[in-house]
Amino acid sequence: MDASYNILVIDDDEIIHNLLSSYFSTRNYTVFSAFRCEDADKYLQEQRIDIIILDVVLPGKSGLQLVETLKAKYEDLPVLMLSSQGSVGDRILGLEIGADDYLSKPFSVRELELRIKKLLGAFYAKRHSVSDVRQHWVLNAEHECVTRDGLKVKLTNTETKLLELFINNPNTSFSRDDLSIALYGNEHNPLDRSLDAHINRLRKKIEDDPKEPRYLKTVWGKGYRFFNA
Amino acid sequence: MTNMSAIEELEQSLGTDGLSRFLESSIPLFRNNLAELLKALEQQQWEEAADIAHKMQASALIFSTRGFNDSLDNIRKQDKTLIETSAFKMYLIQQTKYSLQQICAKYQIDI
Repeated sequence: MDASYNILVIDDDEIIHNLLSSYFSTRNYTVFSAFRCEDADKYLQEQRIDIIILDVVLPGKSGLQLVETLKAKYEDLPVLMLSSQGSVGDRILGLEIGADDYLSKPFSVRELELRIKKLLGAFYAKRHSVSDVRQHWVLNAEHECVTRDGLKVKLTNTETKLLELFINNPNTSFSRDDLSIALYGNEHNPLDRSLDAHINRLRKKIEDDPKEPRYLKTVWGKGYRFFNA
Repeated sequence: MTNMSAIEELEQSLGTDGLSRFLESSIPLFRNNLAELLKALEQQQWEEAADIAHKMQASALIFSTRGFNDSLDNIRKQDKTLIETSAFKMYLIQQTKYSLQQICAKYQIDI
């Protein structure tokens, strides 16, 4: 977390921009200021933005609408929302539509910095591990096959969906319910062993020793997790 | 009463010089926001006043008083029986004037 980071602040209050620029410019961050949602696009296209600080209430398009648009377009870009102290509804809605954290106005700049660091750390770890996995594992969902370190393996449709989920979320535990919902749209039936059977068949295809899996591991009491070992 | 603890926290975060620069650039903006707010109240533009009150909420606790901040809530809620009175507008002016005088005296800001 020693690198320099670019923060895009979207708020209609110039004093907030002054405050955040004064504070963060001495702490290895560069602050870009947008006063309206529409101005944010320019920075997102022209700069590498690492995190967005966004006020919920803005002139023109609302901050909540912008969160939705941003998250659809830049899934890996953390968004911290600023909201008024009393507006619990806005905060809940903001989090539901994809904001990663929120802070009520007025706020402490130190608390904001801590939250920014936490978000940047979490997103960096996720991005880093996904890109690391993708160096070794190339999944072709259309042709239902995966190439691991140059070795191509044919998969079934279900195995492809499972592996896609795991590759895109390395080091993340998935319960049988999570996997069942992702595959079939409903929760796992404890009497149904087909999910475990799919996992076992996938292991036979991707593991050197399926009995001692190196990549697709069982997490006792939780489900399964994919490691880029 | 002025919320000096907010200013003092900022002094710790920005340093004395950084705080002075921040105050010098931001106090005129705060005064300008207050003038716009009073104008909107005078013209009974309640929606506009509520938008300005929302915009000022974060900085109000730095530059004015807890009472001023509560008044911004009244404006945001468009509590017309209260906010359309002259006494209410006078209260906003007095609270800010008193608070800014204290800040400028303490940090030797001449604006």
